[in-house]
Amino acid sequence: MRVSTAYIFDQNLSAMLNKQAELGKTQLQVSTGNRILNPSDDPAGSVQILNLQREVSLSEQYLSNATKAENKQTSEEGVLDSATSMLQRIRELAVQGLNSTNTQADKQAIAIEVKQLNEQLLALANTRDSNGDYLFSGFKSNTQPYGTINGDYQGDEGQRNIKVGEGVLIETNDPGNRVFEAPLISTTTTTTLSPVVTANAANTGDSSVAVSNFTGGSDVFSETFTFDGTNYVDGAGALYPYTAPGPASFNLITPPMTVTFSDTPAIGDELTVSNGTGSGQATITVDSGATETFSPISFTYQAEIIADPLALPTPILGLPARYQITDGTNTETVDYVDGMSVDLGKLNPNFTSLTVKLTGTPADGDVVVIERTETQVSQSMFKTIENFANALIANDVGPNSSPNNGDFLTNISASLGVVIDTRAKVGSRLNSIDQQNQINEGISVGMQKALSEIKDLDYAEAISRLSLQMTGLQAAQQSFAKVQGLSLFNYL
Amino acid sequence: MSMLNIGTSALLTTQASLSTTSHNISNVNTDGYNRQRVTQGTQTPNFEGGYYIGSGVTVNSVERIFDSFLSDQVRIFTSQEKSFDTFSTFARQVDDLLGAPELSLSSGLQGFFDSIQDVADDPTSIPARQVMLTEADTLAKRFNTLDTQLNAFNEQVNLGLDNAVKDVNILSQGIADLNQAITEASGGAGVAPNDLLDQRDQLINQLSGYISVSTNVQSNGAVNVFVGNGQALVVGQSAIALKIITNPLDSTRSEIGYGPSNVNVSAQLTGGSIGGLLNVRQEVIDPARSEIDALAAGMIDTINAQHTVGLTLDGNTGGNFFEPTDALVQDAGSIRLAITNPRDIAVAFPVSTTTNINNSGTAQLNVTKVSSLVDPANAQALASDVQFSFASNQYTVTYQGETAIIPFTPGVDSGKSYDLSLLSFTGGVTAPDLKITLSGVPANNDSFTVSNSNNGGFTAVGDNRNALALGQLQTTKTLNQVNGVATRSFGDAYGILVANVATRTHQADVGQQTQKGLLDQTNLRYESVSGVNLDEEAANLIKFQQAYQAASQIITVSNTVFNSLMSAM
Repeated sequence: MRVSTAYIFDQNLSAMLNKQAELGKTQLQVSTGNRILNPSDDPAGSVQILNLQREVSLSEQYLSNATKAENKQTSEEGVLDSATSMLQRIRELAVQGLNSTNTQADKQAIAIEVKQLNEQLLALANTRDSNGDYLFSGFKSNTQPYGTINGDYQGDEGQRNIKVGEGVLIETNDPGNRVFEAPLISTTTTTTLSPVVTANAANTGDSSVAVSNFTGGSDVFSETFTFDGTNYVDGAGALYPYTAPGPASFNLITPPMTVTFSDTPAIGDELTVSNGTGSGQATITVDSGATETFSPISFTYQAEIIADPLALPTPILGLPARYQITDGTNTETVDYVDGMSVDLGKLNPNFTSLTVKLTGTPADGDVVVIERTETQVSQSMFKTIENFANALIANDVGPNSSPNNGDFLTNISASLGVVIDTRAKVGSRLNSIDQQNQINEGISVGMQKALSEIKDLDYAEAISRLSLQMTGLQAAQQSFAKVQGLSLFNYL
Repeated sequence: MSMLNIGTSALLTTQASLSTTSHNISNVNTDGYNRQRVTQGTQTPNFEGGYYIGSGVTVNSVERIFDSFLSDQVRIFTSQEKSFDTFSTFARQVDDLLGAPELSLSSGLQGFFDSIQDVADDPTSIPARQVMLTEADTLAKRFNTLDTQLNAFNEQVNLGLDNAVKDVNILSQGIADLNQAITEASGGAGVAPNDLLDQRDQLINQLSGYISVSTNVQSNGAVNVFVGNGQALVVGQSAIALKIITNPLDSTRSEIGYGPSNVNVSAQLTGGSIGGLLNVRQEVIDPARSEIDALAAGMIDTINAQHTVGLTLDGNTGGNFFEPTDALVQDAGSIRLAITNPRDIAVAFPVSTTTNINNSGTAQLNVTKVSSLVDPANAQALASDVQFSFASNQYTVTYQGETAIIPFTPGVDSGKSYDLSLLSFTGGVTAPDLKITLSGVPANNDSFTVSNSNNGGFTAVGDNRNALALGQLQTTKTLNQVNGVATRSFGDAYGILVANVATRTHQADVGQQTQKGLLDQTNLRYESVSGVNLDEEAANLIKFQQAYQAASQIITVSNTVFNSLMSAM
């Protein structure tokens, strides 16, 4: 095919320009180290780069967040560590103080040390971080959590989270009321004269009444209910509407109890609820102060039975006056002598430290119930410790001394437990942060690698391409010059 | 006699050939020049009784070596190549703009959200808050810059169209003028004015670089030129001008008008730099602008919605973080920061939870989302405290003296989230617009209270829950609703924009290279037919020189013959 001279020239020129442009691009790639100079060089790759850069940058931000979270948790851990040792020391001092061999002066000295430690503990609860924010006041960072020893918690329940990974939030503070407040257990022992129901022997109907929830303690009462066909009427004339066969329950205020009528009474039937027709009493005389609670122990009095060998049809065996004692499982019977003491250890080895004194003249069938119940409230440990120290100074520490009797050891242990639990939480958070850091670092490294594979230039390939393109351009230039020199006109 | 005449005819014919060859050689670098060739033939022979004697040579015509099919091909590929080339030039600029790290929204978004996390880490730190404001401002300014740049591209397109239309009109007029010259030059004899034809073809070629054209040659030698759907640019000796008009819907856009009533024919014009400009505006610049605007509007709405429900360091309502809030004027060009005081960043939630001190279970109640406030002016999210009280496998929720029930089986439901706004309260009280998580195992009669944080003065300055919620917006999908479900995060949206522009640019590059290749091939074939080859012309020169010398010898011999005849007398 014939070609035109101008076209040969143009083509050669544009080929050389193209080669120059390619060479220029390769040269730019080599000098920047980037494979992709514009997004259009590799649209898919450049979007991946954007995404990967975002991931890498997020991981780095998470790592930076984690460092801050770690710092906050480490400082909290330091505070909790000190608090733990102080509480342990206070507990040691309390054990020492409760020892009855101490003189009053010793106890006062101990109490003063306890108070000093308590002040330090309070200062720990009011620790601030490097920003001047209180560590233990929840979201109320500028509010001192505990103003005074007896002050209430001033912060809130806010727990600040720091994001250390996608969907991974780490708590970085504990509100003071979850660190320095513990369940305050106080136990109370009550003795109750249990109500007993007696039906009138003259009753013609089938009437019955049950008593529950009696809280009247040792107060003696007797109440008779007479059925008038539609109501039971008590001694004061109050009406309790009743329709057979019931049951119908009524809460009485005096005496404090619930009565439940049932069955089918006849008009004029009488039911009497009473306690302590005699004057028998049980009093706890020895109590180690152990805080275990126990279920009700009932003492049922049985009057003396006088022997009558001549009774018909069977002779009657004589029995002395006695109390039958039961805790629901074990039963023991003791002969009654006014003023006697009963060691409940005989009944149940668990009650070794409990001795009950029985007095008075009970009536047959009287029941005395002894019960120990526990009440639990939450209170700041500063207040608990302060109250204990004050009681120690007043020499008012022991069974039935209120507040802060022997329960104090339990309560200080509970406080210690709360602090140690919080420390464990802090520890596990620090652990989570470490693990998350490893994950983030792993992600970061992986992403950087992927990023580099997409974004970075393969130098070996690029350099060899560069030299190839240089050779190509050179060849094009040389051949251009040579070919342009060829013309028939040279020979005319 | 006849010998002298024959020699003369040979000299004259050879001179014409030499002239044409010289003309070819001298126009070797003339754009649009088609080589010419003398066609010669024998003169009518003389009848000498029993036979004919040749009477020499004569010039039949001077031909233009031209293939109209190849010429049309060249125009088509010129239009297409130029269209892709223009497209790719502009698309590449947008591509560069979006890919530039110092302008990229990607790093702007990252910086902004990183700064939010730093604030969440230290909610009371004024420096951290200040950094967040600076980063937000930087982000808004990047939006503004992108908008300005994209507007500038739009202006460049307008300018390009303006220049192209001017050139097209000049070329049309030139073609019309040449039509007249050619019609006159060819007269009735049908003699082709080769160089005028070359000039006209060259003008049509140039025209096809601006726009796709089709041509129609008339019997009188004039050529009619059409664009689009048959809009005539040149009819015979008259040219019809294109005109730049302003888009009636958007005064920033130029369109192309045709005819006396300036009908907008932009949609019908393809090819050439005009087609490329119109395409790149429609396929790259417009979508990029609308995507960036949508992203800006989405940012304003999403960030504001979260910021508005939060409380500032002073316990006031957060209010708007970005402006403007009017959806009609929200775009990348108008987005700006609405607050200047770092204390006004709403980092805290407007509600706080109180656990009853006597709770014996392990249950916890956390507020995870506040969707709206009942009294924005006083930064109150609730009309009254909300009480949660647990008993027999259900929480009784008390709000404004009315109740609602959340069934809750400890262990099974622990850790679940509840949207309180879905509860129906007795008395038809509007439910609080909160989401909560109930975790742990509650004991009977355990209770919680959720109340307004700023009751009795705002002190929960360390509350970072709203900052965490703001930070979460980085990866939450909040844009591009499909069937009511958002499918893209901010970063996703920007990535997709970059990918779209990059893909179109890449396509245009590839297209341009393909068309360039096709154009080169067609040019090669066209040139192989019509182009001047100097070696060929040199050979012709030798050939015609020799012919001329030989013809001169005829004259000499004729003279000698005549002389010898005279001397013989």
